[in-house]
Amino acid sequence: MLLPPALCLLTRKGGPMHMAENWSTADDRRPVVRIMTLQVSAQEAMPILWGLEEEGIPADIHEVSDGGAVALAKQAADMSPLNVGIGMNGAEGIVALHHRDLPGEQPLFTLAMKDVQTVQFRILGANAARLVKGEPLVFQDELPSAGEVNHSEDFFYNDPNELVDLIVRVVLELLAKE
Amino acid sequence: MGYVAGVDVGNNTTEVAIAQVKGKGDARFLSSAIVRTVGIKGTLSNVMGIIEALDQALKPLEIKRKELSVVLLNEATPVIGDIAMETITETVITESAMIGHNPSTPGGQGLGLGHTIGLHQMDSVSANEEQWIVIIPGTVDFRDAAERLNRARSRGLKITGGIVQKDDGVLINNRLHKPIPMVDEVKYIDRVPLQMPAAVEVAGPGRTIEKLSNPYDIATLFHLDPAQTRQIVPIARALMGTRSAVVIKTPRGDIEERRIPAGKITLIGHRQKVEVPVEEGADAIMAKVAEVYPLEEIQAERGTNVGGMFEQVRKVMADLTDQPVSAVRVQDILAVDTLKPQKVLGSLAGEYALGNAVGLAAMVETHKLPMQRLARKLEEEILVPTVVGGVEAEMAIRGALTTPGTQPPLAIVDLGGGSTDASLINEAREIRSTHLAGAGDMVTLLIDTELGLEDRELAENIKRYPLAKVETLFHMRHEDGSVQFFHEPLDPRLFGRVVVLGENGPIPMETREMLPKIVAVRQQAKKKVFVRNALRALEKVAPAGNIRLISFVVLVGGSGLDFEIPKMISDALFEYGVVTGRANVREIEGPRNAVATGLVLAYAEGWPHAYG
Repeated sequence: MLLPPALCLLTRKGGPMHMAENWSTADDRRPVVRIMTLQVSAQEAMPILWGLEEEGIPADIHEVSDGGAVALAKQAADMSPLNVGIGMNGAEGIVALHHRDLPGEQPLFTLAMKDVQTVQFRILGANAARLVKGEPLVFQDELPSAGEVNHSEDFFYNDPNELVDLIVRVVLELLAKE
Repeated sequence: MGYVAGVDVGNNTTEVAIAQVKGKGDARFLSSAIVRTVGIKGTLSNVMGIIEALDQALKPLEIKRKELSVVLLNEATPVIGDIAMETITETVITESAMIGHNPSTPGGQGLGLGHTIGLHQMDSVSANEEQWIVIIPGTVDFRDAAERLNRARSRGLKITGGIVQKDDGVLINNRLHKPIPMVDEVKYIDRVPLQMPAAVEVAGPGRTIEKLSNPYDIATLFHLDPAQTRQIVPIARALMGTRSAVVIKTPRGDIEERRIPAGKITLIGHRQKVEVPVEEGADAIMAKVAEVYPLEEIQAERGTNVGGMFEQVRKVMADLTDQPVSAVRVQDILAVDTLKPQKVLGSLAGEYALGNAVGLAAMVETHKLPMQRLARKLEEEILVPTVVGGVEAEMAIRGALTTPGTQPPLAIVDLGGGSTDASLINEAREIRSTHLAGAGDMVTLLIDTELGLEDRELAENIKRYPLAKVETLFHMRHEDGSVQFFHEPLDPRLFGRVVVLGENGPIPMETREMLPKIVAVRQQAKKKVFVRNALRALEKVAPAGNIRLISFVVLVGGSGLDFEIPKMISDALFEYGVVTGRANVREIEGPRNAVATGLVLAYAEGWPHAYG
């Protein structure tokens, strides 16, 4: 089996996407960081899972039919035995990272999905893991600056399409201001 | 009758005591104030700080400045100290040859040995008995990297380890059919030489590497002869205690632990003149200092850090007292051994190696600071008669003696920023004083150096305040193990970090050092400087140099308020049977305001005065 252990399985409303064991009921108490998604493609959620995986903390994804990103994150955190949850709402275009002990309307971080690159999703996943481990969180402003990392452009723009998208967006924004 | 102000201008703070003097020996203290000293002690810029302190003390009394009948200044002790660090060893790697660092999440586990090869070159290599350590640049996506590795291995290539630029070690490993040890977050991956024998080691969670930190294991892996083994000792030492490491054998892999000529110090005493090289370490220097005592002058070799520092203190003091530089003599030094993390030259991931260093504090003392000049200037500014009211050490003792439960013979110890001062008053009310090099600034320097902070302000905060570890979003564990909960979530930037509990809230530390290590560095620095100097100073003023003959020791000045120094000194002096504690000037001021209080008391005793 090629699937990395930390990735475990993606579930859809109906049931498990991959076969494997049947562990996806709502009262499931496996020690994982729970990610609840609404109208989000697996593609978009993947970088968050990678962030968690590199830090060695298991996660699973539940697709749901209703709820805002922050509320979903809170719900996920409340359900996670690790007390950490992530909510993604594709319609709102928001990702939120929550902790069970935080007040519902006060997530730890929120990201607007259209404004960020893959690397920030990965950082969000890494931070979810670090929240579990009690390790210092990663902030993008603290990452090594472009000068320090070789091939830094490649680092931030893994996907050439993403770079093109960004350029197009910037150009459009500039034109809109005219 | 009249209102009198005592003013103590110190290196760091300016303190004021206001009293109403009604008759001989009858002083009723009304208020006090403390502000930061403006400018170097003894210079005219001090006036600004003095006026601020006076106004602060007068305000609640609703007394105007001009209602004061006299302002009394201290005859400040003309002592200036400065500090410098002299590095003795440093690890120099002229050709990239090792990576030893602690990425938070390395991949795999175990030891891999082979020749370095780029990920993209693997396709052009055919399978044979050769083993490979693969180099994975940040341009490659981790899925792609894992796929290429799996493919190459299915062709029969023996890949035993990896060096990864990004933080991808775990992600790649999780996608391999068979995991291999991988060191990731290697910043300067393009400096890794190709086709060279290399070893990668990753220890299990909570453990440190075993092979690459042992010179004989490195010798075994790379077939080194005894001469080469001697050369790689600094590498093994630098890798000790890390969780993962890479060692690459380059043809002219030139690594050495250089001993840097750190210069010599010449101690000139009454009868003899002794030279001691700084690289012999602090103990050797201090032994010689004790041997040559009493010292008249200390000189340091020009062109070294110590030489530069000596020139600096001489120059500041010469400017201050209008004397030629040649007339200013360095009278005391304190040397302390320390470790200094240094960036390894030619490193691949920004690694550090510990080098030996000696911290040195020097102190100069001259006859008189131009306090008269300052008094005249202050008088012009506030239009109140201003006089230099008494010698600092005597005034401090007078003030300290207002501490309940004290009587002569009594010694005071003032641990300042630049110098450690002690004075003793005996039953006959005779006073002896001494000033030694090395105090608070030196402690700050040691903390800064040993933790590799390169941030003096943070080091100063670590010195002054206790630490805590933020364990969850809602609680922190203090360094004594106690737990504090918060109702509001803490700043996420504090989460998981060691923080300094400064006055304006917790300050997060960047370092990955563990809290106990930082506490140990801080306490060691304080012991090496404050405890050692308190004992040295008391020996100098004690009858027959015997600390046991002093009954009471009182700590005055700001460091008396430190959260752990009083206990450290008390512990050290307990062995001598001395009562040690923090002063409580006039039963309310604590260790502060001793000199300002003493000035007013001395004035009241001499009432009615010629001046005033």
